[in-house]
Amino acid sequence: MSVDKNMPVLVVDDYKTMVRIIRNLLKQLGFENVDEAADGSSALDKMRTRPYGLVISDWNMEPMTGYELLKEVRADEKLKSTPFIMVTAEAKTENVIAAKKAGVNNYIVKPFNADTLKGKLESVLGTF
Amino acid sequence: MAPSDTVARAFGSLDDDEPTPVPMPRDLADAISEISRKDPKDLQLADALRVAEMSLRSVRAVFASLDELVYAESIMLAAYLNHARVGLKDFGPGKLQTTDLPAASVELNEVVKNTESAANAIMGSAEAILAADPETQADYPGFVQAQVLQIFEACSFQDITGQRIRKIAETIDSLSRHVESIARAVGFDPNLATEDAAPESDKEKWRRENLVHGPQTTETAIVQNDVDSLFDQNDIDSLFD
Repeated sequence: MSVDKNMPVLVVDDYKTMVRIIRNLLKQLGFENVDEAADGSSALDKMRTRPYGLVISDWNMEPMTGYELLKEVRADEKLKSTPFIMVTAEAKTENVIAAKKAGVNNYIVKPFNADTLKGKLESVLGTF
Repeated sequence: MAPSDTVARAFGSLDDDEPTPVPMPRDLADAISEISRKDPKDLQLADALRVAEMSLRSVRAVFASLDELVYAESIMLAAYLNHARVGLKDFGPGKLQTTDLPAASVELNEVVKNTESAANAIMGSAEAILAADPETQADYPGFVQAQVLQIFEACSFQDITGQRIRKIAETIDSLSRHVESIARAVGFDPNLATEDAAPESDKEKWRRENLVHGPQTTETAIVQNDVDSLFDQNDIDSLFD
């Protein structure tokens, strides 16, 4: 099944610079329908008003972290199937494991390059 | 021996319910016994005055020993406080509070601004290059070259931020040395955990429980390949056993 590159993608990060970087990389990969949120709480509000085909989220954000957002998404009957990729500078084993246990689809460690992002997107959405 | 020990030995612990008994001087005890054996009709004013004088003398002796104890303790306290005062003076709390720490805070904010500005400039140039159409952009090679030069210029932020961060690191090192020095001057071992630390605020508690530690040093961080290996494992649950 081919990947619908027009699907809305939600990028969640409190650093505008990182949002811009991810948005540009996604654009290079053909994903131009990109929305953004500055923390888990506002991301959750957006997800409850419109469907997203993919969420790419940072971890360290206030007042709701990306990890808490992930748990909320997986606990929500309507949102639980949303593909979710964590993109974070956090590089401790126990946190990677915790994220996987909470249901994250994949995990990217910052800094990352376009090939890594493409690889993880394909692992979650399918080859494109 | 700590100052409080000398007082405690003189009077017993202040926490005691029963005061430590002080033996009565022998001559006073004898005088009281003699008077108690007399017929009340035979008692003279001189007898009462004699007992009163003996009582006063014995009380004076107790207070004299107490004076010595208090004096010794005061000397120790004065030395202790002087040591702390010298330590505080070396610490330079005035300069630290009014100059060094505010300057470090300003430098940190400038680092954030510098890096954000550089990142925006670099991305702006990159976006402009990507958006340009070689077919329609006038002097496309020159245009690309100009954008690339702007990227190189923006990368000079690393020199500026590096200097700022070095200044901040020096301030922190200095602060750390002075804190340890003053702690030792007042007899506090900074290596021991303290139970007297200010209680954690709700915000601090939330951050400790929810925020992770952010970027690790290159020596300790796991890399993408390590993360991918973890994700490839089928039995993550066993890692929690």
